[in-house]
Amino acid sequence: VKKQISWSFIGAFLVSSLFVAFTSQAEEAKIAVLNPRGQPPPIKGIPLAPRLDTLAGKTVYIIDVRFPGTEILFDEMQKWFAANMPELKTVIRQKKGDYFENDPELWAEIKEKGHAVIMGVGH
Amino acid sequence: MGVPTAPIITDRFVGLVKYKAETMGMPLLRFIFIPHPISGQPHSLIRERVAGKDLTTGKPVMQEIIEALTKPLSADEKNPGYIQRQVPRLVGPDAPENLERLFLKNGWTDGLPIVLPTEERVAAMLQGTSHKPDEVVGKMAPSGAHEAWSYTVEKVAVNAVMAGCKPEYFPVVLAIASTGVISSWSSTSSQASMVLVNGRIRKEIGMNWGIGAMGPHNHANATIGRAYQLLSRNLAGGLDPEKTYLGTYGNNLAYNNVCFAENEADSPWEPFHVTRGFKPEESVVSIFGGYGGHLQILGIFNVEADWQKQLIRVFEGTATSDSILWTMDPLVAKTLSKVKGFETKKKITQWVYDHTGWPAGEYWSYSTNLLFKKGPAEKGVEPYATWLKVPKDTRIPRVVSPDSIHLIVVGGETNSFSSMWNWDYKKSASIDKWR
Repeated sequence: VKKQISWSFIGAFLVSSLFVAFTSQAEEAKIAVLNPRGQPPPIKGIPLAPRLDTLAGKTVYIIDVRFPGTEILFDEMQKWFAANMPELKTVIRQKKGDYFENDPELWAEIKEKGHAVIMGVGH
Repeated sequence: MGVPTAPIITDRFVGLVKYKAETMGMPLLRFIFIPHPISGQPHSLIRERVAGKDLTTGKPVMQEIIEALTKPLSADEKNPGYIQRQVPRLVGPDAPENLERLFLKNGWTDGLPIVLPTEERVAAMLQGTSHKPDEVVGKMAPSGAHEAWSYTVEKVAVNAVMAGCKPEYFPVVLAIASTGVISSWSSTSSQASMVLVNGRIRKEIGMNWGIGAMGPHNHANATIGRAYQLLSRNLAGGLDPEKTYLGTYGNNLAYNNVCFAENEADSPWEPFHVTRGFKPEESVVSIFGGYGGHLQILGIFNVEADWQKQLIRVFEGTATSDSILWTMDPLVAKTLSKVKGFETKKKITQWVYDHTGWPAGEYWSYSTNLLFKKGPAEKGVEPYATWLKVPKDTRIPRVVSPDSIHLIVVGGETNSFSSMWNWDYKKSASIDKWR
């Protein structure tokens, strides 16, 4: 019986040693690497402009940013407003320059004369 | 502007505009998505789309427009907050195979195996430059409409390790990164870049300018070009389909951006970097970008008859762009210089400028010219302003000036082979500055 207990003890010792050895080996196999990503700038939230209570009696600028085909889309949109919301005035304008360029003159005009904008940025 | 706005875009670009709105600080911008495409569609179909539904929400398009302009703002729309985006320096620890999977899953690789950027490997790469790891190299954006990210010398080294570069290549990779030019501009037209190396570093790092220079036959050419692609992906957040990459069918050249060295010794003309104003002894990298479409001529200059006609046809066959890159084997350059009488680059570029062109009406029928050139033309930018005013059948030049025809000599003289590429010259940068 004494012999059996000794062998059991030795067996348990060997098993636990192997477990510790394998675990530490697995830990050793783990590595840290450097993150390849660059630094994005912080995002500063911009609140949306206050909305209108109603579009009745208002002037809405429809701005074409010059993707081909947009003029037909906005022509149809203007017709829809004329048929369904005749109390609303729409003004179609094409932005100056290519679609990447800012057009501060147009934005100033809209701020002065318009109440809302529909901007066509797709194709 | 402070005026309520309803932005409309076709539903193929949902990912792009949501990403852009979020990064520009307006994550809740009230987009209306109309079915794609609009361009080139019959009038009747566009009318149906206006009267129809936004397929992403199931609501009528016009109802969404009205709601976008009149529905009261939510608390989050009034105060979208501030987000500081921190990028941790380390990833892991984890088993290498798990890290490789993570890099792949996160879109930090091109899908091919990478070298994991351990501290030791990155430290070894940093030995390739005298610059400090925390020095800011520059900023880069996926397009003119995207935000720009910044990056340090260490971040560039991480990407150079991933691409398999040796430390001695690192000044070239840093010079590329310093240009701030992304390798795959986020255009729907599937863009890539071309990387040209001039000067003594070509020999020092064993680059190829002879047989197969533009192909997968040289370690420096291959890994430097790949590092450019990986750093554009990781340091600028670029090349992410739907968000920061929109090329409709992509571009295989983007894997390593056709990186090669010029065959300066066998060229009868000054090397490209000298044409751009650098000294012959300087080491310089130059970036070209665009669609990369190209047409070839084989052995044309061995044939006496009609070589000019054939040359003009190839130049006029390439898609419309402001400039053309003309790569040629030394055999072609020598023939042009010594047999055909074009002793200088200036002479041959002037000849091409004078002899190639197309009717103004045809030029203004291309959608890219309507999109990118008509606006500047209307604002008086030359030569487009003049080209817009002339009658439709007036012949206008193929490129904007003789200087916008870029000549590069490369190859191993196995064929008098040359190619005309749709690449625009972007920028050159000193490599010596980054040693």
